[in-house]
Amino acid sequence: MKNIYKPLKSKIENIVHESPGIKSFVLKPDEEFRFDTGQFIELTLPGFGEAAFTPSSSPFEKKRFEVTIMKAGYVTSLFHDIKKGIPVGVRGPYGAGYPVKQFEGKDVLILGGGVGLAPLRSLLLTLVAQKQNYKRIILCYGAKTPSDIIYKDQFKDWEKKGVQILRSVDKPDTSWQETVGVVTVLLDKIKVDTSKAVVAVCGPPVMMKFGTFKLLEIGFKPQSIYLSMERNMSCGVGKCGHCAFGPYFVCKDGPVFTYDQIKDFPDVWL
Amino acid sequence: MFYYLDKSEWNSYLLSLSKNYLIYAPFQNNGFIDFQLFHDKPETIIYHSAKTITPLKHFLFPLKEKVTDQPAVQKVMVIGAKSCDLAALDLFDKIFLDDQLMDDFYRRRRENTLIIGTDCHSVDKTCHCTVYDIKPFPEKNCDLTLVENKNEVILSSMTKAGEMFLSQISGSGRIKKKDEKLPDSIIKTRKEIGARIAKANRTLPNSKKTQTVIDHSIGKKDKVWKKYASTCVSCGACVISCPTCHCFILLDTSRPGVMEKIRNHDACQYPGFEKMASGVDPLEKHYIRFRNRYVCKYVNRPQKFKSLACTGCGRCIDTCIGKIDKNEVILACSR
Repeated sequence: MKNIYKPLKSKIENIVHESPGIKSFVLKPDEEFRFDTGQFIELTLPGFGEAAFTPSSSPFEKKRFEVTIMKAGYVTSLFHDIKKGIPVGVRGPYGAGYPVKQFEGKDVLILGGGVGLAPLRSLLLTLVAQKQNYKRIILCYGAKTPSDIIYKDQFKDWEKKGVQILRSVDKPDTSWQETVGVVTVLLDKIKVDTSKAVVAVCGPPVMMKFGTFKLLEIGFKPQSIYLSMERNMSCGVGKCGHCAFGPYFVCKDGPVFTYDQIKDFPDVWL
Repeated sequence: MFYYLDKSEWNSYLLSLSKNYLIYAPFQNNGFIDFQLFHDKPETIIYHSAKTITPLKHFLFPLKEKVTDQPAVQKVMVIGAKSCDLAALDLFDKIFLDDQLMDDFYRRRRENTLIIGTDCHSVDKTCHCTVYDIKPFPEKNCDLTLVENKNEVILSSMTKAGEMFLSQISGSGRIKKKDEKLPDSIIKTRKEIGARIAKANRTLPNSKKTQTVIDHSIGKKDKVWKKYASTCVSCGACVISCPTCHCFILLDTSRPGVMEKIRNHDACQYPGFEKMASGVDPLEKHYIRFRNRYVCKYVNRPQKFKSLACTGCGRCIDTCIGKIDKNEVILACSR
């Protein structure tokens, strides 16, 4: 029987500086590793601890995967100090990811803020790989400043592959040619039949909150809004209680929820 | 079927079993009745007290356990499990024996622990199992039930492991008689004890009403929650002594070349329990953290697992250094 607490030995093959405070890590597990887009892993830095991350790479790649980590807490800060080649541990994949089958035949809107683009990048790469199954793929992405944008060199490639991309920053620099303002202003610029569309949202809590309200205002149904919820996911297997969220454990029942599933909880937006 | 044997036969059988099992049973110790490892003096086992100090869960879910190796599990026998502790295994089994994400450490302990449930023939001040439809004698989640009646012991099996145990005793020729029923005196005691607990707690709302009371208190009874939280010191004793609290933390204790994790009991009452890397903490405010335990037990766990996460043992009231009476809090919320 599989030991749900035992990490799979993996190696950090490469580290990419995405923005000040955000790095992507290319991981190569000792064994083939499969995940569904939106599922997450527990990444162990041996001797220090572990933290939950949703892979930011395509689930079609089986030998290696990427996680994008913002320097925030104890473990994430340690990850920012390590060098490639270091052995780490991976548990998972855990949780329910994006139900991409249910997105087929629809417009898929992706609304991301800051490092919240990490799990959405995995979704985007999944959708792009089977683009014929979806009507349109639209990415609305916002960051604080142009230098805070992650995956800077990849947007052009996604655009070439047919993704409609809109970006905004709160504080532009002199070279910024695109939208200025919070990410929700981008929603005024798109035309979408909300009855035949779904939207995946991930970002800081305040962006998730106002993003969801704006989406409801423009006609999205609560059951068509997919939110990637953040809680303190520790065991990853729905047992330790740290990520309790109403009757759910975010690690097992989520991390992706429709707004309809959680809208009545008192602490949806923190 | 009930198997009757003389107590002297049972006692000598227990002594012979201690070679094969680690046997734990309730004994009197410094004024408390609690589980202790059994070596000798089987006549001093206290079968029919109210609950022990330590909840049954600690045998299946130890305070601290390495969860990256799987050493051989020793056969354990726990004698004297009470119905409040046994009822709690409903929730534990649902969480830890989940088909998709089975906790093999819990499973192996569960399978290698023979649990013998016993009646409560006395009642503690804080006992209130009947409020939540639990009777003060074992009805489920144990392998055998045992009743001590004067100079005899009456055993009955509830599982296959229990049946095997009984067939072994039968094979040893120690069984005096078999009967379809328990003595009338025992049935009468069961009723009397149940009635005593019910009478002492007649003002408490049942599980369904408690669920509604707690659910409706969120955002509406902050004054009550703040008042009672004011003497809570976040020590977590209520959680550690609770038969249904299952929260834990995984600690990384890896050494070079060896990935190692330890599972340690944790408590939602400790500050920072739900704190995220971003610094956001849903339970940061003390009264919300205090309230969380009630919402978890009476609203969230029943909603998800169809099992109430309070079995009315009253240990949280007994152990609270802040002198917080959980039932008083529920009543205050219901007013």
